[in-house]
Amino acid sequence: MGAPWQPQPAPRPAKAPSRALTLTHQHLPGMSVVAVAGELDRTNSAKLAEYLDRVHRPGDHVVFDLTELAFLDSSGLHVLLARARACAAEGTGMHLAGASGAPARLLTITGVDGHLPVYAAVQEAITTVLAIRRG
Amino acid sequence: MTGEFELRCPISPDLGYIRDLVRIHGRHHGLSGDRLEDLALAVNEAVINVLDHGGQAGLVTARGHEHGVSVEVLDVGGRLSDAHLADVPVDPRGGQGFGLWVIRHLCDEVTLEQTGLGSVLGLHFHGDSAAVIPIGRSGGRPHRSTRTA
Repeated sequence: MGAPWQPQPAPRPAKAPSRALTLTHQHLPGMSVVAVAGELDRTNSAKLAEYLDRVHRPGDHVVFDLTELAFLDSSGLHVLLARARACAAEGTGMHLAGASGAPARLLTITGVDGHLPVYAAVQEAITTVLAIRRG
Repeated sequence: MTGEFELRCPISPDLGYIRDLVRIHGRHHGLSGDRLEDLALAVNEAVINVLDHGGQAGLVTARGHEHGVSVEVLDVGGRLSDAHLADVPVDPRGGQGFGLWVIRHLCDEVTLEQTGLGSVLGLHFHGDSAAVIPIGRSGGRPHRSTRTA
């Protein structure tokens, strides 16, 4: 490891990250659709949890549109799974749509994609939830 | 090649910055596409582990070599043991312990060493051209693992 080393704070980049987390939502009958774009990690996963508390209507299914999600780590995944448990407790469901690349790989490695409904595109998830609601 | 670049950065909560540095380094040493993102995620998870379960301080050292890229993540807390790396399946409903599980399935090889400075988790990635024997149930390193349903 070379010379003795002492922990010290990392220098911070001068500008804000260019792939900041962006959260948007829309309400459809019986579902809250939340688009998560950018990079979701330990630094901002609490932001998503707070956002969900605010926009997730009680009794709604939650559809996550992950089409523009560039990065997902275990902290972000925990927030998604906590919401899945909340939905299950309410008798609704959580739906993950549009994940690709590294986020999709994380869902596969952890087995989450075998446990929660996963869709190629958000429209597919919305159609499914509408069908569930029609019974 | 001699005199290879080496990346050294302290453990910090600034994960996006660390990922960017690791990506630059990995790309320089021949990783690309999914493998490059695997590297960034594995290092991300190792750093989270130090911040949340270890000594909250340490050092990330990445270097390239003829077989690919190796990243050492030093945790001055030094509590990481072989037992943590045991092949215990995670609960996909949201139990803890995703980090090390993910690391084990992203890397071609994972090593753990106890040093005078702390525990050192070694994350080893073979180059894209190297023949790699898959480990774990992830089924190795598909270049397009994206599933669509």
